[in-house]
Amino acid sequence: MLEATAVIGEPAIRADGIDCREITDLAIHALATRTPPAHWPAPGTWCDHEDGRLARIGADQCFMLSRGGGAIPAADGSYVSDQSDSWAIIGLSGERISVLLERLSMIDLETAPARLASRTVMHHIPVILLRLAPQDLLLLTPRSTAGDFWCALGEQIRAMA
Amino acid sequence: MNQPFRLPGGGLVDRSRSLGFSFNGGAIRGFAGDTLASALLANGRHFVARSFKYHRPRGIFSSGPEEPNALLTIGEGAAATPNTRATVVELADGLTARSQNHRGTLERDWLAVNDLLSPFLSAGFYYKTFMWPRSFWESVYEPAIRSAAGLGALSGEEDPDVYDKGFLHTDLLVIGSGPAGLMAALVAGRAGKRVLLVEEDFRPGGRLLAERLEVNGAPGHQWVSATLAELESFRNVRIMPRTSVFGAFDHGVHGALEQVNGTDGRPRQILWRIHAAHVVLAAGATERSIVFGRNDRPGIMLAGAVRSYVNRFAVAPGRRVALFTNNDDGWRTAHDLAAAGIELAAIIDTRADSGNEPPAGTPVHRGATITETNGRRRLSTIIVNDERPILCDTLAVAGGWNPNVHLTCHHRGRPVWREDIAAFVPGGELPPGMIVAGAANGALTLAAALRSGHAAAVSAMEIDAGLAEIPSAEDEAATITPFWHVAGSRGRAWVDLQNDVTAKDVKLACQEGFHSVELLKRYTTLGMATDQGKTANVPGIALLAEATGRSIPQTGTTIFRPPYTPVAIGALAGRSRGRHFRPRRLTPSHRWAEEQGAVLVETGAWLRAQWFPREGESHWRETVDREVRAVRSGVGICDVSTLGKIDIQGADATTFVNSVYANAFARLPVGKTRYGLMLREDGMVMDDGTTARLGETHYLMTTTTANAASVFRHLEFCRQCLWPRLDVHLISATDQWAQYAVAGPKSRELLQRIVDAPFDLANDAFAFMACAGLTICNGTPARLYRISFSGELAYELAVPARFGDALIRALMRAGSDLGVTAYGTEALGVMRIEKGHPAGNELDGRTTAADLGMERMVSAKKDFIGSVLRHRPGLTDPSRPRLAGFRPVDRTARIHTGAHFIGHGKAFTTENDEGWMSSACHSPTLGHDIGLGFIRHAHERLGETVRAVDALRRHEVEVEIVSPHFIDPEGERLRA
Repeated sequence: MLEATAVIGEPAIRADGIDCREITDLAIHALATRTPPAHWPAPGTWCDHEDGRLARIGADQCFMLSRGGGAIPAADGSYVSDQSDSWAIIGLSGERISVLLERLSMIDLETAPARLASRTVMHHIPVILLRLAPQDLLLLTPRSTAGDFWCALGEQIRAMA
Repeated sequence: MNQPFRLPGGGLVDRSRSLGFSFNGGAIRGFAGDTLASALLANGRHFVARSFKYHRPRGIFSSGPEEPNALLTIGEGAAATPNTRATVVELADGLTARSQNHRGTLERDWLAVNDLLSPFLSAGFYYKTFMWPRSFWESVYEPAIRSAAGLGALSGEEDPDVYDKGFLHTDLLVIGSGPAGLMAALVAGRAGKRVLLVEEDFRPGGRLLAERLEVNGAPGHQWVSATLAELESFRNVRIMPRTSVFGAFDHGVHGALEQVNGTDGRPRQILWRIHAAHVVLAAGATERSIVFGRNDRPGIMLAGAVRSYVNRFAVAPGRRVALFTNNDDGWRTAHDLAAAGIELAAIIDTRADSGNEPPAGTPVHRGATITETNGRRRLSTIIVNDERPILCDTLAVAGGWNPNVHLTCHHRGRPVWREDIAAFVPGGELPPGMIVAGAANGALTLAAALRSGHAAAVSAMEIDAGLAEIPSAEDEAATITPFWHVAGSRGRAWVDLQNDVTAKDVKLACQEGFHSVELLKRYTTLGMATDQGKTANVPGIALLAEATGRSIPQTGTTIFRPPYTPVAIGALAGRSRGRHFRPRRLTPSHRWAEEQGAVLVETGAWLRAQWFPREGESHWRETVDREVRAVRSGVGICDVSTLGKIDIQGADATTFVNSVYANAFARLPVGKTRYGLMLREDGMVMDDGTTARLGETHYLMTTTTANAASVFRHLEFCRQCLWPRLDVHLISATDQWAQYAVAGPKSRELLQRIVDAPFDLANDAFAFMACAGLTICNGTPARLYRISFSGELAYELAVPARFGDALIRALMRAGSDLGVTAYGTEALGVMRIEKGHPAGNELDGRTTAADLGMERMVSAKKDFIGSVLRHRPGLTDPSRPRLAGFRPVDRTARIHTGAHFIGHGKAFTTENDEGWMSSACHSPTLGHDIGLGFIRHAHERLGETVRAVDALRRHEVEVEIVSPHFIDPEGERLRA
């Protein structure tokens, strides 16, 4: 079997109150249906699911984030599209991530839902942001621009150290 | 003597922290808490600049962002920043400052000769002179004028500083931290609201830092400190000094620029986008001058600035100071100077009936004016009423205060005139959510400002007024009798110091018919440049009103637009420069391609390999020819991951695909791929690509690289707006798959080496246009499409992107004995021209299916996007240029993209234009140049020759019209 390559493949960035690292063990599947099931979270939020985390990123679309090794999760009749290779996943944590985020995104974390799942733009690059905990974020950014995104993110973090 | 003009006591500077800096190479010192201007004054550097046009000596005129004179270049080398107002620069250890706009030294500027030529340099002189010879204007006159006039110069080097951007959200944005702003912030802060208090100064407090007025019986600055301390204790309040709000934009968004002055990768400035539900504008007011003869000498300052230097910075602006005022507020200057022990030369009040009491022993001239001043590099005397000269080295001028209405006008609000304060106040439509408080709203006394700030917060946020008591303060005297211009002055009287605009210029403009204030501004430059006329506009309007016989309200103001204060282009760019100017999209084989020494090219945001040069190849054509020959004779590999890929699923996916494409898709079997032609609503071709049916309800559509985003957007529009009832779902899969074209007669043989059993690649089992899911290289999931862009037997093999790097290496290894060759976009382009495939050059938004020779492909049996408007007469005109192939009659001749086709013996005119060459290349397969293009009646003219005229390259060649399919027109190779 061919050897998989990490999207970014760079060591974690750690600076004064911010920890930034690539996450490589999560699969992403897009689920879409005209009749969203009741267990889907409200649009713009995520919820726990037996297969992982279910993030509602559109009226009729969810992203399932799971550690299932790429297996397609139970779909509840939804149409499933594997997106695991479309996105780089970056974990951001630490007590200063809100300070970092105000330089990156127009999302207002203070008024956003606790379990936020929102599309946004950072450094002109699309990002899906999940707030896992007050000081723990997950950023999904397209694979093809992930190198530039990581570079820009690193410069920003180091500048704030 | 060190800091000879520093007062022995008082002020808010930190005397324990001495800071060294330089001005024009001379080392001097100031204190922490100084501005550059106050430190220069403390050291007796009153003459700091040369004026814009006449190169007259100029000194520090103000103490804030309104400064028109003291524009200096800060920093050295690439980091030098010209046109920086010394009055807003926070003094820092090691700071270097230089004066600008002089030839020779500041003191001996030989361009000061311009002042002698001033009779010839009046407003708009360059519109009337330098008319002959005409050719001299651009080559001689304009460069000479630009060189002689102007402000500072950029270094010409790349800016080494870093700039950042950010986003802030708040319930209440308070702009300005004077008494009104602090009061508003305190009320809202105590109510638990999210408050953002921004202040352009490095020390919050506004005029309370500059005045001796008391709040709650104590000096005003003490109340500032206590209030700030309380605000800082609130988690819901954020205080941002050194931050200027420069614009009020839509939806409550305000632009602000923060001076951070960071080093080592930290930003120099941060451009903030502030989203505010409510705004209290407490931006204060700016003092204006009075227009009188030679009112521009160093030493002539605004009275409020004099108080700032004395009270806040403990600096004496001069040894002997006179005061010229038309209002009560100006008189406080005299008392503050006296309190600081500074000698007062005289008080000249334009009002005969003012009852203000002077400090003991100070001569007072009521109902008097200053008609002239003297002093070469520094004021030495003033002449009162054309009579007595009075010795003084500083003149404080108090002409009244203008509320800072700028931000209130950014949504087209027009200020209104208030007679009682002789000033414009906010009027018309304010930006939504904005309330104006304090001096910015015409509340020019301290007590009124405190009340106003309190009321603004209570009103904006609907909170309990009792949360914060209004502190006690006085409503100090502020009566004014407008006085704009000393009409009897013999000398030139400056209205706009920054642009060297005089009262005579305003009158001249009016005399020449420029009666509108907007035209006055453009003709004279009044109110332009870094200060945007903060001290000049209202006197200029008053003079225009006087000259036209109108009132000031009838004359009106110019329109205020962002930015309120200069914003560096670097700050607007933020981090989007250099490598981060825009994001680059990299393919999964990018690293491998770099290892091979590929020459990369930008295609949209993607970086793609253009060709792969080998040692010994001296020209790109040599490389590309080799790559094409390798594909045509053996096997080549090209990364085509950049093609847009859209995953389409749903019970109605077939209906959807069939409706967005012009050709039939309703009966495409599962496991098959079909070429698709997509039209826009107007009937023009939008894009093309192949779409594979992966399952009963599942399609994968490919688009051209360039149109991937626009096609996806178009499909979403169709899905959401045109056919919302269809059960269909879209998601981009472009980044999901690494996809490689494996092309050439040996491509099957190569693939057989990596495809896992039992998948059968035989022609019968996996025919042209087939598609399938499979595994390769011992279990790697993959998709295989038998499609060809090159015209050869070819496949496109896709794997999840994480395996893309490994796959290209595996393919190259597996095919080494077959001579497998990597090829780039240039060879790809050559082969598609040889095959006659239209691409971006042909799908330019102006061509129809018929133009491309594809009219028979378009379905007549179904409704689809573009099906109606494609029948418009203009699009069905049989004389429209159609796609054809072209080759030079002289096979050794070159042909060029962009050439236009002209008949033999005809002139190169639009009327004779028969079409254009859209693509051209050298065909290594045929051994000569070939091209694709559009020409009228193409299909009836095969074998005819025309001229291909390239006016841009001054090149002409005779070409023969041929079929666009130069190789394998029957398609035998790709079906092999």
